[in-house]
Amino acid sequence: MNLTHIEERLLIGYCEISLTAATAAAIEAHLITCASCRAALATVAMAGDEGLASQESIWDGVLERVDQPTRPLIERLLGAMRLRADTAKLLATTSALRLAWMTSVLLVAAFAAAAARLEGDGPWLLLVIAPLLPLAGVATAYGPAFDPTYEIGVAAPMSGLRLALLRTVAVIATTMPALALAALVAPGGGWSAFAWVLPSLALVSITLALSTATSPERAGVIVGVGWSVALVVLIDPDGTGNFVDRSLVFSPSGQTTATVFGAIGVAIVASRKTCFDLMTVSGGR
Amino acid sequence: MNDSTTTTAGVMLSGVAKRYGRTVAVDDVTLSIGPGITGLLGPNGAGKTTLLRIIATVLAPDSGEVELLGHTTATAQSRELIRRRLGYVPQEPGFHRQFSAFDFVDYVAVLKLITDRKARHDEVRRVLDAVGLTSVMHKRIRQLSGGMRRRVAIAQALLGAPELLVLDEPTAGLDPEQRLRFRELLSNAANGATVVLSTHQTDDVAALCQRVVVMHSGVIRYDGTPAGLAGLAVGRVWLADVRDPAAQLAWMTGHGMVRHVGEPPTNARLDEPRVEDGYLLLVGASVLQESSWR
Repeated sequence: MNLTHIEERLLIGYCEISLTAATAAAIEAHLITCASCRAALATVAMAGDEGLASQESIWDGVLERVDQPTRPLIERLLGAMRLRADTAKLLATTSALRLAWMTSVLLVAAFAAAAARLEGDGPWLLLVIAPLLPLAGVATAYGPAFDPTYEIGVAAPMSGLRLALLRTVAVIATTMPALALAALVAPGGGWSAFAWVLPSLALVSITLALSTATSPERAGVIVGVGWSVALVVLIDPDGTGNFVDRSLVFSPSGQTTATVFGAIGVAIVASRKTCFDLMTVSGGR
Repeated sequence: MNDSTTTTAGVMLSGVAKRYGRTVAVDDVTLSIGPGITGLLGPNGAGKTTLLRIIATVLAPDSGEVELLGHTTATAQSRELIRRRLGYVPQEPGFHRQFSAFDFVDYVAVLKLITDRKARHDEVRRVLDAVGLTSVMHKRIRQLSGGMRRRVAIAQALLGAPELLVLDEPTAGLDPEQRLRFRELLSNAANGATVVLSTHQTDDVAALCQRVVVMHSGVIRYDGTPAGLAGLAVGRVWLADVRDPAAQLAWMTGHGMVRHVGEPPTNARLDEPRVEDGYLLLVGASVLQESSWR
């Protein structure tokens, strides 16, 4: 290669994909700025065997390789999980998939499990806290307060419900395994250590349903307060044992009630799905 | 008043109203806007942003009918059809700042359902080139200047060569050179499209817009050409050596003369009216009365 243009033998090697990666990269870097060498490459490519692509497709390939942006870490991780590139891009903007959020979830789950070991009073802290984590993740996964591109997104043709559900599933898929791990290591829990699962899903469902009428973060706060009140109020006055034993929320009837609430939430979301396609909160005039 | 020359309407509003609690943001607006660039002028709180959000389909009016590109905005299906042909820059466009400019526009292209990866990347490169950001497209947005971010926002609106372009104060934060480039860009992009933009810059309106709509307190106060708006001030713009104490609107110009809009001061001579003079005559006095500037 001389100082200004690429030698023909290198262009032939480039077309035949027989060069080292470093040499190919150097050639691509030069091709970006040199129209003359691009034309020479096209001539070499056209003169080669019939299997060589056209000038345009070669140059498109070069552009795709050279211009390939460095994607954010979470997007690359999602891509490594064989998620479609466009789906990974949609999820990469979810607050609850950021490293800071996931670290917080792991810390809270570890704290709840450690508390159960230290206190020896069953995994009550885990049961109380666990449903709030996916709830908070969903409440901050979309909407004007946490998605800076919310308004642009609403004006785009992609269904708002699809985006919300996609991110909700992503939040559940990342939050609940950490909590399940905490439940497994918490002592004395057994299956009762998983009594948070149905309430968690119910709270998420109700949050989504409420967000058809108000902002997701406000819906999350309302549901979170409702959960806290239910924990305090729904205690069996004649019950014995620890908090979990006396709580009606974690009893079989409480689990059934959570399932019913969850189903109602799903029905509301389905019947009001077009609300996700319009702004829920007003801004400036 | 209405001296507009609208032909095929990309935007048709009929009796559109929107309230926030007891505040009326848009009050019974009827308007049809065809291809070309239409500027929306008005003071803060005039209802411009609300009206543009309604035109961008992100906000539903409380009453009235909205038809865009031949489709009503009343159903989700028709909104999707409109949104496939719509570009929108909100007043305060936000960004995922960890993204590069390329990533961000690519993300919006996904939201715009451009699913083929190569076609999407080609389109992203095209719009970034159109706004002059090719050289910095892989820089993270947090590293870009305010003017560059504004151009990224404009780039995403150009994806898919939209037939309806809605821009809420697109020149805010741009320096004079960037504003000139924006005018050039928009006049190219507006070729055959319906473009509606709001601005506080009357010189943008004079330079860019075939039509101007002035809003104040949620209602349309003027709808016509920029020249017609300037024409409202014919015979009402004066230059004098000193400020008339009774003048409602008067300011010292760079030439050392005091420009008065409204009643003639003593020892004054008439001056050529500009778009801002007509605008000030329409809304200026009431705005000054409402503000604490005086």
